[in-house]
Amino acid sequence: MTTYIVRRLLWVIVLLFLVSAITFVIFFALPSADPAQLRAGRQPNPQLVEAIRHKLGLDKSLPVQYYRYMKGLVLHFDFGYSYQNNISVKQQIFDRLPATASLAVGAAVVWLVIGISVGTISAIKRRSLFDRVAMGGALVGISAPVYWLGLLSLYLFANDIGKIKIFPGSGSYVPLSEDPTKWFTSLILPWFVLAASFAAFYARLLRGNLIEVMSEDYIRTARAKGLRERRVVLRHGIRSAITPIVTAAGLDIGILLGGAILTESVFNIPGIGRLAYDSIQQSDLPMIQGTVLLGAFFIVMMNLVVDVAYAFIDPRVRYS
Amino acid sequence: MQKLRRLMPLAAVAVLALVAAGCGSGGGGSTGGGAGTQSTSGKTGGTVTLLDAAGSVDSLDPGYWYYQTDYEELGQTTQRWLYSWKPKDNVPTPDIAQGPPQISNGGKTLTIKIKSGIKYSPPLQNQTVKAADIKYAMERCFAAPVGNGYAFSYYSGIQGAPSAPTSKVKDISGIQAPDDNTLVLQLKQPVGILANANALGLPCTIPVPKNYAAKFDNKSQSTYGQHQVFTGPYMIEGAGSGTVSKAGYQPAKLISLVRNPSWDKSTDFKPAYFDKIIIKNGSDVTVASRQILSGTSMMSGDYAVPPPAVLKEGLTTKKDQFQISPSGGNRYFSLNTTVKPFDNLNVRRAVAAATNRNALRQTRGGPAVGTVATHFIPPLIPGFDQAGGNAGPGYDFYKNPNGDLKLAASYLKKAGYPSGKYTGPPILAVADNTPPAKQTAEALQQQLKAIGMKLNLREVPHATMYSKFCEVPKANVALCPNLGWGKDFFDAQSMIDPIFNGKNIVPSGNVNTAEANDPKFNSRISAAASITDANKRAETYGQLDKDLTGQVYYVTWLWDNEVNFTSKNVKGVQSAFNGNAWDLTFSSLK
Amino acid sequence: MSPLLEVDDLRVHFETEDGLVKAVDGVSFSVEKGKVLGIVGESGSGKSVSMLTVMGLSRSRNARISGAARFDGQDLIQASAEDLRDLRGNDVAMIFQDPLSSLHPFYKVGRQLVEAIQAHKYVNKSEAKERAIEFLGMVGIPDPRRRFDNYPHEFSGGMRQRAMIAMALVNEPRLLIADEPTTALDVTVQAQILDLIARLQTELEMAVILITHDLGVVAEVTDHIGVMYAGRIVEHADKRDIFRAPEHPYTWGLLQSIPRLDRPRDEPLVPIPGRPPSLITLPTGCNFHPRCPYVRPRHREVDPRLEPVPEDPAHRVACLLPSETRKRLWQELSAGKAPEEARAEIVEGGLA
Repeated sequence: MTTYIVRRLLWVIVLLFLVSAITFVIFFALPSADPAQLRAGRQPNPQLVEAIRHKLGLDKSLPVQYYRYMKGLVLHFDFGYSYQNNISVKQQIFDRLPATASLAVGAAVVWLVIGISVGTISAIKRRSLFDRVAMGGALVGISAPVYWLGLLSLYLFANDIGKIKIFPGSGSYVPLSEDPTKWFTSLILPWFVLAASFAAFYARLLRGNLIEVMSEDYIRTARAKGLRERRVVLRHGIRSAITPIVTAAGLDIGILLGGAILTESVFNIPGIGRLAYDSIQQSDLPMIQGTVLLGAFFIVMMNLVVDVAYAFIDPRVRYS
Repeated sequence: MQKLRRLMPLAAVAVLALVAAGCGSGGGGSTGGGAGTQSTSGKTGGTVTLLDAAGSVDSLDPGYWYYQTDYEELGQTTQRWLYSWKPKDNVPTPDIAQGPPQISNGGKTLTIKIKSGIKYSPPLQNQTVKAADIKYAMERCFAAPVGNGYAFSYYSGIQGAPSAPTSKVKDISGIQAPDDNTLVLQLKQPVGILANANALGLPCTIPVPKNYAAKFDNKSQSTYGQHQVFTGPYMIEGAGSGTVSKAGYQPAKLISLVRNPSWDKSTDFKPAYFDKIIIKNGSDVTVASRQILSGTSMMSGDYAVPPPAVLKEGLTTKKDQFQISPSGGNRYFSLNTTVKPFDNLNVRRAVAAATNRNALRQTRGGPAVGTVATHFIPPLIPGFDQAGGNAGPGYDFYKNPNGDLKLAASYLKKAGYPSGKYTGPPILAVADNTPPAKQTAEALQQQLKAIGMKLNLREVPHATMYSKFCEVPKANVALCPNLGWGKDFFDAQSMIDPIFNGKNIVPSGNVNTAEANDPKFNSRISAAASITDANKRAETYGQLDKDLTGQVYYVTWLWDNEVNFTSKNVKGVQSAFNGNAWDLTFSSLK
Repeated sequence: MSPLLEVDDLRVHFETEDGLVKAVDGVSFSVEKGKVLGIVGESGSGKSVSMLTVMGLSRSRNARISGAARFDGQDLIQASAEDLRDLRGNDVAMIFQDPLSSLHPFYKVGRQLVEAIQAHKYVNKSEAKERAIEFLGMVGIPDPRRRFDNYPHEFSGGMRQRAMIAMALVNEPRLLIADEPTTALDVTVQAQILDLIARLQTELEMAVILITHDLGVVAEVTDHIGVMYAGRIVEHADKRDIFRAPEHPYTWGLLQSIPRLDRPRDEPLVPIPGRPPSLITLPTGCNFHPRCPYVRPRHREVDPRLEPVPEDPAHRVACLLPSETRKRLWQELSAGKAPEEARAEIVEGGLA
C-alpha cells in the first residue's frame, strides 16, 4: 500500500506540471486581453505599455516565462504576483481558501446526510408516497440552477431582503476565527443551496444502489440468519451501497475545493471560485495559474484519497 | 493705440482665465456650475456601506488612480488634490491650491499658490503639505514603477517632461517649487487644459512627500500605496502606523475608511458627514440592489446597469431612492476606415442611417439609461451646445432615432451599390460577451442585416475585446459595437483628441479605433490644445465635433446616464466630475 | 409422532406485469425430526420459492401466499414477521447455493458468524467468538482461530461453503434447509460437503431439507425425496422407491438423463423433450402433458392430484396413468428401451 501511495503521489507531481504547462499554453494561445495593456490604463502611452510588459516579464519568450514561473514555484513556493493589483498570488489564494473550504465541506456534510437518509428511506419504501415525492423533489433539485436557487433562498429567508427573515443575507460571511457563530449562520443558506443538487443526485444514486444491493444474495443470507431488518439494511445493505457514494463524494468535494463560483457569487463569499473567475476576466495569468493549480491539486489528491479509502472499504481491493 | 492693442490680448486672457477658473460658473459650459439644484447639507455621523460588484480599486497608489471607482472610493475621500471638484460643478475648485493658476509669459508659465497648514495623516501628522510634495507627486506619475495612464497625455507640455516612462522618479525641470507655498509650471507652449486647471484636477496632483515616499518608489513596482499618507477627510482604517493593514483593506473584499485625525474641516470645502465608510466587493448585482433598496445605510457601487426589475422600481415605486444623471460619457460603435467597406464615406453614412439608436438603447434598459445621441460630445461638457446640443448638427442620417432605411439605401447607391443594399463580403465585428453589451451587439447585427450587411460577430470577454482586437489596428476589426468613452474632466479635449486625432494611432491600446487620420482634422485637433480662452475652446471643439460627426468615423448612439440608488435613509450626492458616481464626502444619512 | 415441518397445500403466486406467476401451486409434504428430505426439480420448478416461503423470505408486495406450513405446530405462513425472525437462524436455518455471493464481502467471516450468534443469544463478543471458532472447526476448517479473521474471498469455494454451514448451524437449529449447497462446487468438494451435512445432521439430530436439481446428490444423504415440476410435487417417496420404482414420467426422465456407470458407455442419454412451462400460462389438465411421451387425450383435461400408490401409502404420485401401466413402462425403460418404444408396447398395445 505504501508503495502504491508513493507512486500515486509522484504522478500527482507530474500531473500538476502538465496542468501548469497547459494553462500557460492556453493563456497565450487563445485570445485573451493583454495584461500589460490592461495594467497601463485607458489611454496608455506605448512606452508605458512596454515598460509594464518588461516589468511583468511578458517580453520574454514563452519557455523562458514558463521556466521562471516554475523556478519560483518549485524553489520558493512563490506563485508570483497578480497583474491586477500586484498582490502576492499565494497570499490571496491562501487567504480565500478557508472560505471555499468552509463552503465545500459544510455543503458536503449537508448533502451526504440528506442524500443518504432520503435515498435509504426511498429505497426501503420503494414506490411509496415518500419515495415518489422524494425522487420528484430530487429531479427538481438537480435541475434547478444553483444561482437561481441562491437568489430564491435569499428572497425567502435572508434577514435583509427575505420574506421570512431568518438567516444572514448575502455578504455576511466572516471567517471562522473571527466570529464562529456568525460564520456558521452566514453559511447555512449557502450550504443548503450548494448541497441541493448534490443531495438530490446522491439520494437517487443511493436509492438505486441500495435497491440493487438489497437483492443481493448476502442480504438474503442476513435475513435468513434472523437479523433485524434495520440491521440488515444498515449494516449489510448500506455498507455495500455506500461505496460509489464515497467515490463520488470525494471527487465532488475535490472539485468544489477549487471554488464554487456561482454560490460564492450570489452569497458574496470571498472564496477561490470568485477569484478564479475574476482572474480569467482580467487575464491575470499568475492568478489564473494559481487557482488552476490549486483546483487541479485538490482534484488529484481527492482522487488518491478516494482510491485509498476504497481499499479500506472493500477488503477485496488490494493495491500493489 | 497699438500699445493698447498689444496689451489687450494678455490682459484679456488673464481676465478671462480668472473669470473662467475663479467663479466656478459659466466657462462656456452648457449647464450652470456651482449652484446645484439639490442642496448638499446633511446630518453628520453614521456608517455607510457601499456595495461593489467587482474587485474595486485597481491600486492603492494615488499616482495610479484613473477610473471612476478609484476616485469614488479612495481618490475623493482620502486625499486632497491641487484642484478638486464640487458635486455639481463642471469646473475645478481650488483645494490645496489657493486659487486658479496665474498665467504669465504668454501662457507658458503657470503659478499656483498652495494653502499652508494642510497636515498629513499619521505617521506624518506633524508634517504639512508643501509645493515640493506636489512637484514630486507629478514627477512620479511619469515613472514606470507607478505606471500612471494619463500623465503623458496631459502633462507632456511641461518643460523637461519625459517622453517615455522613466525607470525611477526623475526630476522635471519644468515643475518648480521655489518656496513651500508656490508651485510653478513652465510649459513648452500654452496648454489650455492646464491653464483652466482641468488637468490639474487629477490625482497626480495629490501631494506625496518625497522624503517619506522615495524609498517606496525606488523599486520596480512602487509600494507607496500601501504606506501612503492621507490628506483628505478620511483615511484607510488602521493605516496610521504607516502600513495599510487588513483592518482597512482586503483586496477585492473590503475597504474600510475612518476619519482622518489630521484633516481640518475649516480648510476644506468638503463637509464629510459620514463617520465611517465601508466598501464591500464581490456583491452580486441582483442581490445587492435588493439589499440596498430594502435595507438601511447602503449605497450602490460600480454597477454598469442595474437589473431591469431594479431599474423599473427606480422609475416608479422607489423613485426617491434613485438618482439618474448624465455620466459625461457616451457609447458608440466604430467603423474602421482602413478596412473595406468602411473606407467609403457613403457606406459609413448608410450604416449611421440604418442604425436604430432607440432599439440599441432599449438593450440597456430603455430611456432611463441615457439620451439618444446625435454627436460625440456628451451633455455637460463645454462644446456640447456648440455642436448642436440635443438635436445635434442636423445631419440627415441622424435625423430619425429609429433609423431611416430608405436614406441608408440611397447612401449605398451613392457608394456604388446600385441595389441600395450592401453586397460585399461579411464584416468582422468583435463584441463584449457580457450582458447588456452582448445584447446591444446582437441587436446591431440584426439591424444591419436590413441593408444587406452581414456581421461576423465574435463575442469575447470585455478585456480581451479591447486589448486583443478593437484596440489593435493589426487585428483589422471592421466594426466594434461595444465602445464608449467618458470624459476625464470637463473639457472636450479629453473626448475629441484621443479618439479622432490620427497622431494617437498606436499599435496597441489604440483608442482611435476607427483609425481616423485626416491630416486636416489632425492639425485642427492638435491646434485646439493650445487655446486657453474658455469660450473659444468650447466653440472650437463644438465645431470639430460637428465636422467629425459628418465623417461618421463612429456612430454615437447614446449619451450615458449613471444610475445610482441608495437605501431609504441615505441622502446621496453625486459627483458630476466623476461621471455622477456618488460623492461620499457630500453624501449623508438622513 | 407429528412431523417437525408439515407443509399443507402451499401456494405462492406473484402478481407481475405479465400476469400471475404461479410459482408454487399446491405443495404438500412433511419432514420428520432428524430425517432428511430431498426436493428435486429443474430451475423454475418452485423448489426454492417454497422453502423461502416457509422461512418467510418471500413476503413481498406482489406475493399471494396461501396454505400452511406448520413448524412444531406453529403455522409459519400466518406468523408475524417478528416471530419468523426469531425462528430464522435459530430454530430453522438455511444455506444457499453460492457461498461467495451469499456471504457479505466486506465483513470478516468470523464476524458474520458472531453476528448470527448474537442475533439470538445473549452472549458477549468473546463468548460468541469462541463458539464461532468451535463451529468453524467442527465443519472441518483447519486453523479456525486464524481463519476467523479472514474475508470470504480469502477462502476456497469448499471452505466457504463449510463456513456458511457453520454459520447456519451455530445456534443448533432443528431444521436445516440447504438450497443447492453443492451446485457451485467441484465434484470432489461436493462429496465432502454432503458428507459433512450428513455427519452434522446425525450429530445434532437435525432435520434437513436438501434442494437440488441433481439426483446424484440426493442419492446418498436423503431419506425421502420429493420431485417437483411446475410448482407442484409430482412424486414423493422413500429414496429407494424413487430410484428403484419411480412412477412418474418426469421422474423417469430425470433418472434417464443421468449418466450411469453401470450402463454401456455409448448408450445415449435420454433428455426430456421440450421445456418447462410458463408459470403464468400453465398447460391445461396435467402440467406435464406437453412433454410426456405417454400422454392420452384425457390428460389434457384433467389435473392429476398427488395420490398414494396402491400397496404403499408413503409413495405418492400425481399422474393419471394407472399404476400398473406405470410400473410396466418403467420396466421397459430400465431395460433400455427408448420412451417411444416403451409407449408403443405398453400403451397402444391395449393396456389402457
